[in-house]
Amino acid sequence: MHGMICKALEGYVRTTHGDGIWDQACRDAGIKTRSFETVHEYPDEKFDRVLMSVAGTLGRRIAVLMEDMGMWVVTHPPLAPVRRLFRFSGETFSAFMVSLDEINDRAQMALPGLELPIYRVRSDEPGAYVVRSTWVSEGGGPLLCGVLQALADEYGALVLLEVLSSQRIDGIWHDETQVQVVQEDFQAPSSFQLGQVT
Amino acid sequence: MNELSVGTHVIDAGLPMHMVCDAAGTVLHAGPTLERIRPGLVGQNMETAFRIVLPCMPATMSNLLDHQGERMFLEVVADQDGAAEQTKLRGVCFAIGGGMVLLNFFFGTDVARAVIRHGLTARHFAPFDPTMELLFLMEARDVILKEFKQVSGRLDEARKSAEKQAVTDALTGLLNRRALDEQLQNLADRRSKTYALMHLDLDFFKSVNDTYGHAAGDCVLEKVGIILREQVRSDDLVARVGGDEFVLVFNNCDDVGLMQRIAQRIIARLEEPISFEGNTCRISGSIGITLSSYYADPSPTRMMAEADAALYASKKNGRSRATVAARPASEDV
Repeated sequence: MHGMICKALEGYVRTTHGDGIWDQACRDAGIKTRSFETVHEYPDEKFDRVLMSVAGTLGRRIAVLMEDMGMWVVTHPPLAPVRRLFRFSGETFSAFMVSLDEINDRAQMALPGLELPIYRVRSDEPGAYVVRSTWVSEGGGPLLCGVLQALADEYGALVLLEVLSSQRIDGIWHDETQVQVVQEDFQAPSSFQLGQVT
Repeated sequence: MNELSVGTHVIDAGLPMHMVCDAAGTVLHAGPTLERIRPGLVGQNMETAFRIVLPCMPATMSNLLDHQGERMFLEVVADQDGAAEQTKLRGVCFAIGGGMVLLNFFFGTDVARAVIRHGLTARHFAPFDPTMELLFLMEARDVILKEFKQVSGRLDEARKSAEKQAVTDALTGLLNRRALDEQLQNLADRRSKTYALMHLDLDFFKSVNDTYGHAAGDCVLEKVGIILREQVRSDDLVARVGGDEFVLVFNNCDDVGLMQRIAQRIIARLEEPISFEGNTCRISGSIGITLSSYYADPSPTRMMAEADAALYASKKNGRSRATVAARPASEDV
């Protein structure tokens, strides 16, 4: 698991639930290092152990945790530069949905080795999407729900999200998520000015 | 198919930064994005709106036609407001018949600044234009670079704190001052233990350094480290506490005669010539000795001070010798 994702989990738990919960979860998971480095690669199993431990410490399901984390990644103010990177995927919420197939490639383009869940989007009617995700860890679907909910607010769209199914086959998690765009222009989108680089 | 006639809206969508000039250089039409970059362009002359930087030449129609299909570097000449002043563009031109020229512009390395300067959005680029991906990559690079800088900063901090916690002297591998202080404090805390302390200062070391250089000096210090380690038991301590100063601590030792014999052996070994790159380095050593059993309260500070005073006596009496600290007569041990 890429350090960026491990660090996201750490950042989410520390800022949302406190350093104490994070330390406790690491202790329970039997992890010596209390801090992940974004530029390292960690064994998937280590990430899973910490994730399970955090869920246990908080008494929440992993799905709930991952959805919350997805939302945190997009809305946590210091992560504004990351939120901007999401917006490059499309000008509107619907355009973003269609580009979900590419999001893993896009991540790799920015940072080789950064493996996000793989998402495949299907749309049978306008504004209705089913996203199948595959990932080595649990929660690819809920994570997407959290990210999409927060991005919908960014784009000013009104959406309905639901994880339809989640199952582990041969060590890989397969989730199915339904996305319904109720109204694309529900409110004014937050501004997105291009070219903000140093 | 040699000719293709398409509506202006098609060209505007595909080449939003193009313009068409007539044979006199008057701008007849400008794409929507170019119009945003240089408002009021239509009707002006090409030469008043753009400057060709490379190849260096006036922006006349005949010059443009001489360089058809080649990449040119241009600058936007300021309109009245001065807003478009610094924008750099690249351009390529083609004759399109009837004496008209189509000049299409695109951004170069200046793209991020230009996009901010003119408030451009994804809509201002053709749907197939990879400029958006370029801007994405530039921002992603910033995010990742910032992350690397933070990691690098943390590593620096970790290194500094590791250095602070180091217990050995890098050159000789002996304990350093900090480690010695800690060990002496441990001994002081376990009051039942007796120990002997030897303070050694090299003689003539400065002249080795001055004559043969620091590399020779370092070689001598390494050799001294080896000699001292050979003269102690495994649970004794040897520390380098200054440039050419060493402290030896002998655990469970109350035998002043033994200490004197060891000191003599050390001095004899130090006086053996050390060769370095064809030169022969000669040093010796002055030593001060004291025993914890001499004092009612053998604090590390006291022990070090007494050994130091004895060392000073050795130096004063001609160097290359060992002196035992005077046993205090009045102290009730």
